Amino acid sequence: MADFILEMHDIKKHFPGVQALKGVDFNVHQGEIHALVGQNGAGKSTLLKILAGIYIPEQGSIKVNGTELTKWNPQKIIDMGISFIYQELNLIQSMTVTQNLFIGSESRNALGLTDWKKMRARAKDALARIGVMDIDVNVPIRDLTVAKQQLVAIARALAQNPKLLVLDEPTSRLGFEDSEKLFEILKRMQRENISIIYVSHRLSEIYRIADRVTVLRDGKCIITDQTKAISAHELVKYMVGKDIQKNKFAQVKDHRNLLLQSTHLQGRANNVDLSIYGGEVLGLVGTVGAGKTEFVRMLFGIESLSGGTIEINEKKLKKITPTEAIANGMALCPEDRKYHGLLLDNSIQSNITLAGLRNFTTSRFFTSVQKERDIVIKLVHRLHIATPSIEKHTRELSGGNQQKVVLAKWLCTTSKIFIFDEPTVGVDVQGKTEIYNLMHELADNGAGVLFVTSDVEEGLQVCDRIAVMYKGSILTELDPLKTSIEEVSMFAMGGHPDENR
Amino acid sequence: MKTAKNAVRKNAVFGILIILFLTFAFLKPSFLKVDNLLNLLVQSTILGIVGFGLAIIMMAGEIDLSYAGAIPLEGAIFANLLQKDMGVWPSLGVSFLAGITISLVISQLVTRLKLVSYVTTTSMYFLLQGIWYAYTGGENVYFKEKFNRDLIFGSLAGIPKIVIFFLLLFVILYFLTEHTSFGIRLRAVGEDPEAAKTMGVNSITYKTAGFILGGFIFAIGAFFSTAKMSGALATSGANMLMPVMTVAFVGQTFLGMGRPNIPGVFLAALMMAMIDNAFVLMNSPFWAVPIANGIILILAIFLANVGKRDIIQIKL
Repeated sequence: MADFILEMHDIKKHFPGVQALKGVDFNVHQGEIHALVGQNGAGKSTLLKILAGIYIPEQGSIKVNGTELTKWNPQKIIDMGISFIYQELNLIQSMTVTQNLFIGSESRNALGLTDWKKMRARAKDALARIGVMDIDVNVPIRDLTVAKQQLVAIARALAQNPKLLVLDEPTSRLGFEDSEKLFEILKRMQRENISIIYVSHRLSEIYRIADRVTVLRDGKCIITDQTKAISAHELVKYMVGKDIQKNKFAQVKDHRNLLLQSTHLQGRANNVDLSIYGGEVLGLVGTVGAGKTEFVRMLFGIESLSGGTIEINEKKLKKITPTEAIANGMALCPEDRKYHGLLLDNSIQSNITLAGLRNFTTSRFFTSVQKERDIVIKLVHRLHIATPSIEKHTRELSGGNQQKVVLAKWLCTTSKIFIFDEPTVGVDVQGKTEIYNLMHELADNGAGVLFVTSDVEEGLQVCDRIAVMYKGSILTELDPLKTSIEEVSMFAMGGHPDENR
Repeated sequence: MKTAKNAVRKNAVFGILIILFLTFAFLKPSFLKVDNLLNLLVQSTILGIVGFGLAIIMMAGEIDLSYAGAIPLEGAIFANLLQKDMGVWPSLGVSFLAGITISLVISQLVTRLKLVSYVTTTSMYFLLQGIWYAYTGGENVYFKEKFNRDLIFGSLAGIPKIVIFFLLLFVILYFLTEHTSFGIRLRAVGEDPEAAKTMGVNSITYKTAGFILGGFIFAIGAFFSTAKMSGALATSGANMLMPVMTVAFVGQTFLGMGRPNIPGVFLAALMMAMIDNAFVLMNSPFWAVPIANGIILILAIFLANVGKRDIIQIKL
């Protein structure tokens, strides 16, 4: 039995309202690549943040290379030889590759000034170590592609000479070739006896590179075993682990009223054909990073297209811009409501009426205050937005209530096509049910609803039809009443359900 | 095409400086006299120095407008102590100490109590103005013959000492901000404190250092401006508020950097002084200088941004 580089024992962590980790054991062998998998909310990121010294657990012990950690903070963890590469990469955009690689460990000359020549040489070495020759070390990070930024982040982590490297979904923003390159680099690092923890949602990757795999579910460690010993089907079963509630909404819809059709849409999503019909809630399901958000942003004209067409009511859009999208009856509730969907320092009322302002005007310039108030109050009641007053700033509302304000905003427009991108993230059970009901209410009134979610279970429970996205393409369309959570999860993770069956 | 636009962006400021220089020389040959050129440099010094201080605080991702209150107060302390025969160096020492204390207070309010620096330092400006009135009784403080102005405005090898000092400070701060670990980390914290944290760079430490270094440089500016006017004037701070902000912000757009930087401030101060100087020489009407200033600055920013697509969001 090889020695352990990391032993985490009986880790417990509690957040208000949830027991995020219920006593997790997690061990990593010297020199292995260990995949950590689990659905959203299984506790992966909590576990990693504890390892990074960002969260302190209520209970449990951590041993690194046999020595027990007593007190830990982020810098101490780095000093002990554990480096992290987060999804956000955490690089300084305006600074050069060289600067980013060595902020915190700059080379100096005899005068105490930075020795650029030496640092550039170190930078080239650090990149060469992972086999990268085609990055100019003098360009600012913001001029590099995401894939190259990722490589810089890896080179930076390796320059700290870690014994254990943690990568959180490193391929979520990489294309096929760049992912392949990354795997080669990871294998090369493994040969240098660096241990790796690899978090991913993609089955093929896990089987491609990981020696062992640990499955987390509901804050518990379900199994740790050799990757070879577990089939893809078993793995998905371990992750899902339960029968879900029946879909109470789904009905077979007549697809007569075609509202929106995308044909061969190209760009950051890949050749996507999708039709949305009036009267249905269509689920777009895929893991984080599958390209769902990119796709809906393309539909709405925020991301540019490199090819393909969008038809609304069987009329081809000439210009694909947000203004045009709204004019044609589209409404988008974006994924990051704080950043894209709400003016946090404005009142509930002004947020709700912003998009449909022209519906409240009495004359050409002035809005009708009374009319506006009446409609807002009606919406606040209908959506059960918990607030003492419609004058309250949206910043002061809970996440779920903020989400409802975003929904209310689009309800007072004359939209016919609603796109909800992860509307239930951070929303409690009660709030979720209200959002589901609302989506179906919209559909029953003839609108087409596209519900984007990375929660397969939710997709199955709520939608009339499901499209599964993987790496920017739609793999299949399924009927939620005739499929299973395993089948959908399998597709979403890039596996093929018919394999090994 | 892209590289051509980049070249315009990087070098626009030099083009404008040369064109202005030639135009003024052509319109008024006395502009080219050595005495006048040295005078021009002297005119740019105080503006440039205080601009350096502000630029350094902006590199740390913050802003500090308290100099408009700190400069007259530090000047008054210096002049007052000098009048009481405390000697030049001790008086200067106390006024610098006052400056550093002010910056220390501001830095703690911003970094520990998480107050927004724009509002905090504007409030500090009012507060210091009030203290100036209380301290001086509202009167300008002059030190008359107690201070030998030659110490600063005298010549060394034909060049005014203040100009030599200005150039020296420029070089030192340029190296400090662009070519030392301190400078790189300061700018990293200023641009993305979260990312800097994961790189092991503590934003509180560096922001505090930025405020204090900036405050120290403001105190140098206070000393020079007091020496120049032989005393501390009530208006010396308020008159400086906008021009200093202008050189610090306009300097951001120069040299294609798009971020606060020391050479940009230096060139912006030079440009403003040149316009001022030439228009006075030409006996132009009093309204000509501000009009020329406005037009030339807009032109300079325009050229420095050729080819940029996004609206520049200035962060305060």
